[in-house]
Amino acid sequence: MQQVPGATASRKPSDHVGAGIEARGLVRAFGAFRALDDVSVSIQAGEFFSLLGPSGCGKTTLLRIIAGLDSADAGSLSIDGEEMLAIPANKRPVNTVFQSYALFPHLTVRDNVSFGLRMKGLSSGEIAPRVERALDMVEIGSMAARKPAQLSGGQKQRVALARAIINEPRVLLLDEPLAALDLRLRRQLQTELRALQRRLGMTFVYVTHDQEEALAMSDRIAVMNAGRIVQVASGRELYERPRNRFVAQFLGSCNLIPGTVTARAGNVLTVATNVGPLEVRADHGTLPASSQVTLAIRPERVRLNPDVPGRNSFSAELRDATFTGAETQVTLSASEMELRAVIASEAVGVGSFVPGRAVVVDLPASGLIVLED
Amino acid sequence: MNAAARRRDKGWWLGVPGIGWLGMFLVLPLLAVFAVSFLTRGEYGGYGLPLTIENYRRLAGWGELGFDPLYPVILGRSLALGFGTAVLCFLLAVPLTFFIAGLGERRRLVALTLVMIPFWTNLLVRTYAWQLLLGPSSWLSEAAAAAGFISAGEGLYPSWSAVAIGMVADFLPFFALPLFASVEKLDWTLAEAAADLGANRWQVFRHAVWPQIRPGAVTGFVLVFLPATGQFVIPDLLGGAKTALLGNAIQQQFGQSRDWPFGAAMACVGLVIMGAGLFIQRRINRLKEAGL
Repeated sequence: MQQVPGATASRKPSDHVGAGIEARGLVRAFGAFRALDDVSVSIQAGEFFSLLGPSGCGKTTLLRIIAGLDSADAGSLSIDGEEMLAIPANKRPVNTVFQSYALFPHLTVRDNVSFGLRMKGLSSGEIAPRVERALDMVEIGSMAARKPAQLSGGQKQRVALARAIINEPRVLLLDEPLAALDLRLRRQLQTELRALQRRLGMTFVYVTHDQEEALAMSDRIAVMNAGRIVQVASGRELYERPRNRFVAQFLGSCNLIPGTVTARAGNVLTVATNVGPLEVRADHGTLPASSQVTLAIRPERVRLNPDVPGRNSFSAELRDATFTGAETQVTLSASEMELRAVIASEAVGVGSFVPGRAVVVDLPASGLIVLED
Repeated sequence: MNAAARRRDKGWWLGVPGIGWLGMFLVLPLLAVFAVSFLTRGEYGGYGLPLTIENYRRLAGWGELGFDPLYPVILGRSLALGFGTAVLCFLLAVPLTFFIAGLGERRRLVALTLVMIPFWTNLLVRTYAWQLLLGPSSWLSEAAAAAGFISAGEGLYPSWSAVAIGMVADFLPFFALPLFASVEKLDWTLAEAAADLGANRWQVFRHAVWPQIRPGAVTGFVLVFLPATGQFVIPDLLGGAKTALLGNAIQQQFGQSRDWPFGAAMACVGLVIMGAGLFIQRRINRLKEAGL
């Protein structure tokens, strides 16, 4: 799998197929439930953009509003600068790959794929070569005469993809397209989808609840929760600089340490916590002394028994160590707080990590994040 | 053979009572009717030898007085009545079932019960009720006169419109219920997919909705068309008993005319035509499934 950050910069300027999307203040309520609560987001042309969040966070609703399959109660939506909310789904320059694939069961693979072109009224002479090309692109040319019921999940997925991209949409919307597939196939299709998106230069808007999938594929990710967009950034930035608890815990695991700001020197904060004073770098926001904060640190950034103790070192008791191959997962307790650490197994001496043993823990300032809530 | 198929094989005796019943009281009588249709009418009713195809010749129009297409016309009229009823029921049932499927669970139950109620009411009672409702000074007739459909003082009954109203009222449940079964489990994401791929409203219906409800519509059509073709009580009571239809023609042969062989021939021809219709419909369905 490929790491993605910086992919936008490497795209050739000649690819101008994709369209940008601009959403402003979108609201969608179902009864008392606000599926979308004032959502604004800018999606760049030709970008692989993911909407990531737990189920019920509004990501699918946002996708459906972009597709024109659902309406917004308030707000505006433009694609390529053109206002979209009043335009019906069949006239928008977007196509969708549905979670359930939504293939027409009574039509063959070929007729499914050619559906969009037939609706446009193209002649069969124009349609045939484009269908062949689309089928080849997703490597299901040999299945053209089959019915959807005769295909495996992965093959159906490919048909759904071919059926959408054959129409050359400016934006391709994908609603958890890989959710029903097994892990190995999912990995493979992730790579293929990413490569396809780069080749076609279409804007992809990709809905998923799988954080690894979003990290692996996206140029940028919008993390959503309870009908709002919490943070929009590249996968790397979301992981390293989550804005709040939700993002920190939704992407990967995180140790959370509550504390109080006691001093500020430049952009270095001193925070009093249960495990003693910790020095943190605060890039954003103004946090006056005595404000309550939560610090976060990824388990793999926690250092154990460092050669040179740092400013943020303290002693802790080792509770448990689990060998999982390349890594060893360690549970620590310090001042009635539980901390998790992940360290390279080769760094663990045989028999040195036994429960009950005292260890020195260092939380390097570069790994500590100040969360907004 | 897998285990399930073996189990299915062992269960053949479960069908014995039903098959026995059908053989005794359906197949045997039908064979008897078929046999009688080739016999000759006795002088005082009854029937006997010699074997003849005279009954079928007469039915096709060659009577003692030369060619007279009376019976083909009766047959055609009956088929037209059945077909027309089925088409009207289809046109009403499609919007009706979509409406019912869109209701909440509780209201849906009420709506379906309302659709069923005519089905549980005695046919004669219902038809006489229509006579009253459609009679000369009824509010329905006055409304129709006010709208200019009929002249003032006339009634909607007796007329073909009254027959159509009565027939549709009688047969709508047979169309609406199987169609509803299809509409209820409709996969709307297919309609969304079609719209997403550029289909307009009509194309969405034609390509994404219709293929899903077609089985229900075909079942409904057959369930209405076949009995409506043989129906004669409603046309008699609401149409003014002026037109002969297959049903009352057969009844007349077995009753007043005491010509059992000729009545049997009529019944056989009706059966064959309907059977052929069913066969063709199934063939079309199978070809459609094969993608032709």
